[in-house]
Amino acid sequence: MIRPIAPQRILSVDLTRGETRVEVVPEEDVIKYLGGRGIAAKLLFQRVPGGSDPLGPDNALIIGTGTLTGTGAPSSGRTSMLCKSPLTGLYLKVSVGGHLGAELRYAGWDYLVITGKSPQPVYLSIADDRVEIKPASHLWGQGTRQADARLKQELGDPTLQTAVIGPAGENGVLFSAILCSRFNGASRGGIGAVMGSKKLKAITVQGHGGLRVSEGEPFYRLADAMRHELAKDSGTESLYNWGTSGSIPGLNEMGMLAARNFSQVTLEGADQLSGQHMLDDGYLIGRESCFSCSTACHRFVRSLDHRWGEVLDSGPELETVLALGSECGIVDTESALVANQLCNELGMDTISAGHAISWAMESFEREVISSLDTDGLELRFGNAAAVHEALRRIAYREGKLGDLLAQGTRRAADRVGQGSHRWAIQAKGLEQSAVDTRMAKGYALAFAVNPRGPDHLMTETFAEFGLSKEAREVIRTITGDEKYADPHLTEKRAEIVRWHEDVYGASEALGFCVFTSTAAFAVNPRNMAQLMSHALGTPFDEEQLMLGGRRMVTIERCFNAREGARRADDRLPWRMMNERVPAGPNQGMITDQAMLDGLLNQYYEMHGWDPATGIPRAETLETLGLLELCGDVAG
Amino acid sequence: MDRTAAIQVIVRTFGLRGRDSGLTRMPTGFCAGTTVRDLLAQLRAGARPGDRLASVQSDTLLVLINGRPIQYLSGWETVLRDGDEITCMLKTAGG
Repeated sequence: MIRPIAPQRILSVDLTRGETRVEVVPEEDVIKYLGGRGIAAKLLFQRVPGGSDPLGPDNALIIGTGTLTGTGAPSSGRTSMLCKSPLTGLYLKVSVGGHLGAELRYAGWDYLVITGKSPQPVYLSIADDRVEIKPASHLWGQGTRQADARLKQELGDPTLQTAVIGPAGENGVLFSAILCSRFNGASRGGIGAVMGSKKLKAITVQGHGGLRVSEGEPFYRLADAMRHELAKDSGTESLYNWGTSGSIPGLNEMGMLAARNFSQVTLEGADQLSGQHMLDDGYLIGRESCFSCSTACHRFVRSLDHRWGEVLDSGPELETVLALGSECGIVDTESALVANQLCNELGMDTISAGHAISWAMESFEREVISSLDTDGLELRFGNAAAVHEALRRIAYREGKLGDLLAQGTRRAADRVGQGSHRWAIQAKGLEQSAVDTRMAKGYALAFAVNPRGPDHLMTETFAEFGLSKEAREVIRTITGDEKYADPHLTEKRAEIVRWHEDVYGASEALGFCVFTSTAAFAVNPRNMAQLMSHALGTPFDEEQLMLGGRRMVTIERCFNAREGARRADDRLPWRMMNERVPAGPNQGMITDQAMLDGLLNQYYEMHGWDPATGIPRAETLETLGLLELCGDVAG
Repeated sequence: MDRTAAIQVIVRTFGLRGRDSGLTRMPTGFCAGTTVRDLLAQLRAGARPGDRLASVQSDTLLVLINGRPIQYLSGWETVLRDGDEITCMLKTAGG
């Protein structure tokens, strides 16, 4: 069946009762919330009661496809996955690439809302309108790749799309991931544990329909022009050539490389972890695009000497080689590939896993924990074999160490005590991604207010570095002057962060990869709005688009407020706020509490949120048309 | 400014000469008053056939002086000083 972009369809699945239900999202809601992450945020707010146990039946796993996903809009294959996070107890949105979202739309579904808890392991089979909950006991315990292969074999369709958890998700590891069609991770915040708590091993999707945009000729002409603009951007070229880990040499030279649990900002030999090295030395064996993407930043790699084991895998991404490499004091390419493959197969977030281990390494070296606590593992910086073994133990919650780290760094530090929270690189319970927020003030603010915890995957203010004319133009558009394209400044950071929040949210709601709008800059609010207008066949402008982004940020804020989050939760890891950059060109820099308070005051005021609590005011909700939805939590 | 006076700087290029990941370090002497733009022109003049350096557009380069992007200094007109360490590489993005 070929169907229009809107109205959109929700498939609700209650795993306790084994029932499914179909609902419709009217076009006016698609315009108001933009789709994807926006509609999913609204559904999460409505359907997960405040105070719900994240691993209980009341939590919902919501999958929202982008409104333009499945069309030929460039790099528009992203899918949002939402739930209440078991790691943070707060809102969680994860974005994943690949082809799952497009396949789901071709099957006739735009959103999945999965609640309840099955008594036995099951998987959800979606083949167009045929939806079945099938037994999965024979898959329980299998790694993500093994289960994916088995499902394709069983269903006789090697091209079907899957979303699968591994042993980590089954065992309730609080940073477990969902692997989509083997190679695309929906990884942060423990979304895999939520799927595991429902005894849902996998989702399979087979779609044979299509989508029709309303004004095809202008839509595809504009999409083509955007694709050409994107191809000209130097950011796009580097992503194709080297992937995300192409940034490592630059980070190391600029003294911004996260190393040894953020105690260092450079690391000798870190270039061994770079995409350039993997290309030159023959580790890279292929590249692949997500749906409708011409950038092809996704990597396929192999091991060469197999000294830590044989690897044939996707990735690794920049954050992975930093978290499991430099943060653990390791600059060994082969080790990074093995660690990445272990996380993918076991189904774990590489960022959180790496930082949990690097926290334990520092604790071990400070003699806060000993080999008695690690079941004999010599958990010292640079010990690659120990990292690989720790990953395996975490996934199976094996022994004291595996069980301790499986709960994430915040809980581990709480349990160990002895001041170890000072080197736990987390806030709100989420392990921070490897960006040094001491020297980049926009990043610092964005990380502190991020509803899921401190990372770059809800709002990325890369433009504040001003390293290209396109980036400086973005800063000029936001602030009126490109002199603010300087990450060391605190002025105008609230404006820069809020603009990026809106764009990031809108991009994800439409299904765009944010690399196209906040790393490269060819996709922007103006052309996104134009595409939306052509897709729906109705006038739709940039202001509506940005307002849609603002609405989802506000709903996310209200979700957390209902869970008890307040201004004091908008913070950065202790080390980022209390220890200055130790060396290099940014030596001495810090974003301390006083500086963060100043940034937060500007930011809350700009949003219309109560500066004392960080909760949106009733008049703000009314202006955004959210009073009915979120009014009960207004500040 | 005495443009006859010599300064010594260290130039490091990454991914611009031959292989992508090769880091080349070279101590180089220049006249006082040499700018980053002058430096790049000289590096290009000395590039070998096939080096990215020969063909790369300036606005796709990340140039650091002592670890600081030239965008925070005086851009391409930044004057080199004795003892500076200059790094040139292609810009990257995404994480």
